[in-house]
Amino acid sequence: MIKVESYIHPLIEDFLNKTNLLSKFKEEDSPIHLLFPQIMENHITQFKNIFKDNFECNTRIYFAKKANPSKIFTQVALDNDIHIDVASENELLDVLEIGFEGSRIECTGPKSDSFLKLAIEKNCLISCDSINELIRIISIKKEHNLENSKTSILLRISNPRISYGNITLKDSRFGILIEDLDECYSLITQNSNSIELKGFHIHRSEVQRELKAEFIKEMITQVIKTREIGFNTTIINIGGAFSPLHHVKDIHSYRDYLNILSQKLQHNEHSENWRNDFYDLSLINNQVKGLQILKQKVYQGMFNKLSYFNEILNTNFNEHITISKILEELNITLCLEPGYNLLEQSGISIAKIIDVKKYKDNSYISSCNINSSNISSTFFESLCDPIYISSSDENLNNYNNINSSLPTKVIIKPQSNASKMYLFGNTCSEDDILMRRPIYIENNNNNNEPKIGDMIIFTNTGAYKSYFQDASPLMQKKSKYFKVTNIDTNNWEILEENDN
Amino acid sequence: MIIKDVTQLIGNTPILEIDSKIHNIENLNIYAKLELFNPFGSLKDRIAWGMIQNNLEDIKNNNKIVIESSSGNTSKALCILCSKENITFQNYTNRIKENNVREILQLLNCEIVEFPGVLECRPSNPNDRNDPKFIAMELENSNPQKYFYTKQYQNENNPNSQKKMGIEIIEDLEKVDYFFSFLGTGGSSRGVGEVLKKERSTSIIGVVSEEDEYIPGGRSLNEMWETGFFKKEFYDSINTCTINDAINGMLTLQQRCGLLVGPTGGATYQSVINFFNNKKIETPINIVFIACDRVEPYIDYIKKHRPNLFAQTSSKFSVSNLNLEEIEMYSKSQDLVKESNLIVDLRSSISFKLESIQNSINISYQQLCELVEEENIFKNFNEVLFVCTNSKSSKKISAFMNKKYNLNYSYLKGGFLEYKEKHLK
Repeated sequence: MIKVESYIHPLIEDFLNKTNLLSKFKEEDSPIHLLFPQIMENHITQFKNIFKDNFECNTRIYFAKKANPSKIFTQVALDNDIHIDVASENELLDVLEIGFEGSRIECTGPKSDSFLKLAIEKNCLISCDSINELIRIISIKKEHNLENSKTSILLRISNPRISYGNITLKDSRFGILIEDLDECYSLITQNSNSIELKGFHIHRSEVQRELKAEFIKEMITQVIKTREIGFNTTIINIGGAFSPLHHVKDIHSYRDYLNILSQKLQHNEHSENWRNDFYDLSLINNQVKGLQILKQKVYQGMFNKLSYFNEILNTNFNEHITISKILEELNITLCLEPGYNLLEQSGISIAKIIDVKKYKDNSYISSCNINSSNISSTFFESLCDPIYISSSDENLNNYNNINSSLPTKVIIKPQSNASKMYLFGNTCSEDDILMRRPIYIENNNNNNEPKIGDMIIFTNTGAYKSYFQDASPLMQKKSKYFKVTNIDTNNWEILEENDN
Repeated sequence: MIIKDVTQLIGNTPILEIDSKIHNIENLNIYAKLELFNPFGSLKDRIAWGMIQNNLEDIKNNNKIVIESSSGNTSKALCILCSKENITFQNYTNRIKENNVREILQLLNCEIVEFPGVLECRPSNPNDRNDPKFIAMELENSNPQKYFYTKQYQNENNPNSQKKMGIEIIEDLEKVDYFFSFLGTGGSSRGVGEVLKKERSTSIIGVVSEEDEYIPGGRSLNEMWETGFFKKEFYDSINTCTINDAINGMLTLQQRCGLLVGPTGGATYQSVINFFNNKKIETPINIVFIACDRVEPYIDYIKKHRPNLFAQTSSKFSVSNLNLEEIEMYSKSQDLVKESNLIVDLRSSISFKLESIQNSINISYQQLCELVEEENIFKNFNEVLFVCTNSKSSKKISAFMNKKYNLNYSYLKGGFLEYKEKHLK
């Protein structure tokens, strides 16, 4: 079939060129995740500069800690003067320990009473998810004598109104229905000595710019309404979810792959994927369906932040004024909660082959020392090929070699002697599949069999993928996390993070 | 020339040779195929007609509804063609980004059903209910007696109807070395390109927008996925162009050639220039590009991306003409609001209604610029104080008034936000 080469961030490419991973992790049996804080710093700088240089309105960036709870990234957020968004009590405890003040923390998601109590005690901003949660905040404050300071809250809106086209949004489990907001305003007014309404929050998964603009317009409308009834609302929070999760080096390769897959589906041929899987493609009336969705999961290169926010903020709020301008005039702070977009390309995950066996049609089944949870492949299965390093390349040692002239490599179109290899995890579950698509290996010496000890590197795993489902269900070795920094132009330092 | 039916005006468009003094590239002959001269204003007139002309009897006899997914030109043409035959037309789309385009469709009594695009990053149902093409397909499949889906992205009558354009070009030009076409559905470049490749051994160059650079009617390479006609290998080269390129090219064609083309035609022309710029051309070569459609529906788009084109500039002294030195020299700040001041709040009416300084009046900055550039509307007032959000705009207005009318008008230092902090909290 076809190689779909992953996009690799220039800093990681430099690291791979200068580091002998085979020898560095020769003795290591655990799943390994390498995290690159400098890449997150670059993203923060980009976000800040984009807003500083292009828009007059106030903005505030909350790092969504759930994207990767590692202290490494939390520390970067702290050191770079951005805010942080936590979605559990333990996340809150962690960021407090690292040094965040309550005023720089926002609490989101489903909340237990103890999470709410801690958030109130630390004066965090609370994104309130329901009327019931608002009532619980009020009663926790009363019950624990916490009424002497005001708790700042945002009301999370579930079903923003859309004036763009004839659109119906999908239901969301989160947030308060627009029609229930008045009840919230009454409750807050009745408890105005202990609750302060700061603004609104809409965090939905639709990444379309037009819809994000509509969400912001809904929140501005609510700000105007609440100011008219006497609230000093100053914040709107548009959440995160700005771009797709998979980054390919050249979109054509991915397109070619999907074309071939579609043709195979139409002609009733085997997909070559494990168990003849076609991802989410289906055939209806001889038309291939689902291509659009598969297509839009993948992006070429990096996400263009400026273009995205330019289009959103220059959308007209009404016929006289743009969103950016009305935010400025009303002195509303626009908050963003990027998680993925601050950690885009900030991590790679390394697996080693622990067992190989021959299978049908000259293919191989390789089991790795990681399982599907370690790279969240059931949620975020890689659609791009991982990097493959043969253990026999140890003396040749670097990434340059792998990708140029060296004997063993993943190729664009496999030669006839290429080996097809399926990658599986280390549990005894049939469903522990790392990738449904096979990868192909070959070399010039006809030594193209995968071997125990060969290395598979999954790219762009910094956000969500390396943590979100991480588990060792059969008491396998737990994941290890390493912080990777370039200490000068020629040297990279790899330090194990012990406290995750 | 008397014609009996407007469809007779579709096609047979002229070719304009672009004066070489305009591009100054030696040995390069550029020809514009003037598809904007089609009766409804674009090359999509050919496609629309091609897709329904052989089915008109069936559609009319069975009272079918014609459906399509289109961002503008195709639906506009289909809508007119259906309307004149008393056929209902519905447009299922998620791509209409220009209000002007939408309004034209509304004028034509087009039924527009808009959907959001599919989610771009989250796993979701493959049969996404928001995919308009899927919905249109389902409608037709579920009730083929009622609906006729023209399927511009798969309908072979799309490229086939464009072959006629290819034939027109070879009738007019003996030699066509390159053919440049902006890719929308990919149908035009394929239809015309196949003829030119075969008859003139022409190199076919596709033009797409840069990722994240939306050019109306066109697509980025990523987006070309949506179409069934796009075959990368068909093109000798695929070049990207930016919004800036599109507007620059469009302005050249409008101002230097008298062609009222839209941004897509501009993008294609500019891509020709970018492609050959700094290349030494030894022997004369002929290039044809398509001037796809007219500019009028895209005025809002152009305003958004090039607002200065619409500002009152030229030799007229205006607020936006003031330079930084002049602003500093002529503006006069004031820390406090005085009772004797006429306070003019330059913010939007929404902000003014919500909170304002007592006894102030509201004239938005844009409105005021237009008014005071004509005359001093405050001539009966000695002390005028301009207020805006943070004093940037009010400072400019103060400088303008003082310079133009030799006055001593002030702006409120720190703007409304600082005033609110001090006095309204």
